[in-house]
Amino acid sequence: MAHFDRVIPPGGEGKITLKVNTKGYQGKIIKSARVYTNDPAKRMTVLSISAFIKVPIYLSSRYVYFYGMEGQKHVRVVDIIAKQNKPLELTPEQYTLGEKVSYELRELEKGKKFRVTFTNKNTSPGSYYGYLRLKTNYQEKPEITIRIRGRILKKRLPKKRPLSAPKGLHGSG
Amino acid sequence: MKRVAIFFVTYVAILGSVCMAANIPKAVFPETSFSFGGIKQGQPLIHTFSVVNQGQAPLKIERVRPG
Repeated sequence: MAHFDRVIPPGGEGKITLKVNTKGYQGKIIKSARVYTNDPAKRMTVLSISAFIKVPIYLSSRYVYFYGMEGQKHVRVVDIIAKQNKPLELTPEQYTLGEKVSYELRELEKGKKFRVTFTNKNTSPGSYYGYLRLKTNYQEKPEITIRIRGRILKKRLPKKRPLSAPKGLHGSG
Repeated sequence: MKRVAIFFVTYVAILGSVCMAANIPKAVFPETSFSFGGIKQGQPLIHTFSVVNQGQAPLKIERVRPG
């Protein structure tokens, strides 16, 4: 989002304010904006702002996507890392895809690093969407939601072509 | 006579370019990037850049496209 002064008189100074919402971001982010002016020597200037977004709990991914052909088995992994000194505790709270995708929550480092492994159980064609919600003991982040989406395509069988004898093999009688 | 003519043409050309330059805006950005360092998730990033018009005509900011 940007706010700016439209016209700046000769010798004057104008302001361009950029605003970025950091909700949902984690780690390093860089956001830029292109400013177009009537200065014939430089029509466009790029302004950028950067930051490192600190989170109490880092997720390697907030989304899991299963995409493939029917009959194929897929595995997706999400790592969860505590970014505070306090030991992290995770408890499964809600899971909506029990029939389609299974999951396993493992603690790799006590109170520090966890891994959730998702495996698709149902490999029949179709689409599905759901989530896994985990409860945490961090007040700043009381729950974590990992969203899961799947799209399994129907296998196409190769078309049968009618057999025909190659030219020159026809008998003459 | 020839020298006078050359001098006159050069003078007019310089004068013309100076007049043209005088009627254009010039955008100068003292800074084009800003780093916030470490910030808590959810806290908005707000920064104001300034632009100085060092030209002789009004500077118009036509649009700002966040990317």
